[in-house]
Amino acid sequence: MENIYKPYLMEIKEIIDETVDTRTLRLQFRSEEDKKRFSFKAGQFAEYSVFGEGECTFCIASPPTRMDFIECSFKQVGKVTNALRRLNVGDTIGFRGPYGNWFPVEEMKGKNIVFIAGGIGLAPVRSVILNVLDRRKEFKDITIIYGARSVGDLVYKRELREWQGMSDVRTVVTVDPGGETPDWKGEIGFVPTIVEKAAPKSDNAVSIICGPPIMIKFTLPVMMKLGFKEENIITTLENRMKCGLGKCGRCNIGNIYVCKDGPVFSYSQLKVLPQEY
Amino acid sequence: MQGFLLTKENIKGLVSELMKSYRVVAPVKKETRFDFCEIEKFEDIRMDYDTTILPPKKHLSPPVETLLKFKRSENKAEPVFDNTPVALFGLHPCDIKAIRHLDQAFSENNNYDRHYLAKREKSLIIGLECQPYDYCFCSSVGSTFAKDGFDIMLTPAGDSYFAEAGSKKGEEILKSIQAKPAQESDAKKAEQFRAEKEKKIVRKFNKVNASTVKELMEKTWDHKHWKELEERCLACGSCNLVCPTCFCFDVQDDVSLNLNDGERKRLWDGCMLVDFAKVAGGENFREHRSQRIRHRINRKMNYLYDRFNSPTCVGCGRCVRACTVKIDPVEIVNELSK
Repeated sequence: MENIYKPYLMEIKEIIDETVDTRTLRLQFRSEEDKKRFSFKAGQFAEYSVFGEGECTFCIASPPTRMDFIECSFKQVGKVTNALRRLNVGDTIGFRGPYGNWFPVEEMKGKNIVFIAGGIGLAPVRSVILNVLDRRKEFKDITIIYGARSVGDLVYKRELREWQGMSDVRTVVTVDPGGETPDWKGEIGFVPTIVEKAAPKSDNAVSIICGPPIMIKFTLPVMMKLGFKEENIITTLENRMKCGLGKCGRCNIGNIYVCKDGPVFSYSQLKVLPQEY
Repeated sequence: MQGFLLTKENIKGLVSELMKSYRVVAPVKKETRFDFCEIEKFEDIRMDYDTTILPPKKHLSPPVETLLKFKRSENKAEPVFDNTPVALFGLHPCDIKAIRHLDQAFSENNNYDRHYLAKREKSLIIGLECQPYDYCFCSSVGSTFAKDGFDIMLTPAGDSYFAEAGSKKGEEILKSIQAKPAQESDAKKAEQFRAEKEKKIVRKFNKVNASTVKELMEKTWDHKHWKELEERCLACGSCNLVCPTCFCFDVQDDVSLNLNDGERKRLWDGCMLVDFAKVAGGENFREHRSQRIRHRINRKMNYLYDRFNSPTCVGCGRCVRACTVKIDPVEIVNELSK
């Protein structure tokens, strides 16, 4: 009998430490058949499991334009993420997915795109950034604004450097005041302040924002001030989930389930929901 | 569909017929209350029960259910299904409607939960028309009578029962026990029993009904009553546990003492519990009891309305009885509509 909760097996091919507590796993399906069958879009998420510890929900942090591996990034905060951290290259984990909707990458063609992320919120945004960069010609100006609490908390540093070196991408990296090191050359300030300062143009533009709730709360008014339309500000929610399939009820907000109606929502969609995200 | 008239003796025959091929679950006395339990003999059944401590849900979606079995050394997981045929006997219309909701929840969006559905497909539902008791309020949420969702429905008609089949399976069973066809007068007696039931329902929403309660909930999101309820609610989750339409669940892994064999289990969960919406990073999206009780009542009356075409609350009243501080959906709705 088919089983919607049965995980596929994936092998850890590479481990990349992003910060002291955040790690990226590069994963590959154990079975060739599973690999062939699998496809996803930027913004979708999955359930990752360590047998004996449980499952947890992360977005797929790699883009659908790079299908040799799937990457996920996680912060060590709970039972399962602690267990995931104990694993080594060659170990196996369980994987179910992809679930949920995705960022409207096709609708973003021919537009200016502004990516704004805070902390580990860069993970889902990275999937779209890499997706868009792999198809660079189809999009107009690209701006990336990324901030973390401190220099040590910045994730995907190698890619940030890469993006900063690209002539056709504007990348602004910032750390919260007090989070800088003596040799820090980037911006210093909270993400909303830096967004206001960087003032990305809102004409023909779509913005993708992800970060801690407090960052989003203060960035939204700035975006409105810059002239972004509510339907062109897109974010992704991370409510607690157990099944990912619209069954367990954990991620219910108002009349939507984040796992099946989301996780990607525009600000105009979010505005009518109870503020429980 | 043709009705039958079942004497008490016929009911006994029906139950023993069922016991041949099903695990028969029926209302039995448990100390001072009733509960749906597997019966050993017909005499265990209490046709006169008011309501049960827990809804019949537990026999289709048990409090703890194994989804997968795995061996950590082999990193392999295999699903586990329990599809022992079960006959649920004596369900009141509210509980029948609740099971319809569960059927939908576990099969919608093309995501079929075989753990539930495998059991459900092999199950049989024999309904029993009821009389209102101290806590229920079915007429306000549109679940007074069951039009479908049963295989057989029994309605008291004098000393006997008027039986209707709601499915092919039900019809076959009724024929197999050689029940005699009902007369028009028997059907009338059953009709009268239902009419009296309806008259006896006193606990009701004052100003809204099953189709308008949703609008009321939408308008009263910021009502001060939610805060008032916070002062009373203990956030114990009893209402979640006894609710026939609470189908939210948690998933946990359990490893045996040999540290190799393990099971992934589904457990009943409750949105009234403090960590229900808490994420690993520490953020709690419904930190306050007022938010959680508002969420629960909205889920029953509003949030899922469009999906289920009805409130998901079936008005069984179990939550009111289970609540230590007697928080009552009828009182809440009436307060909000004042």
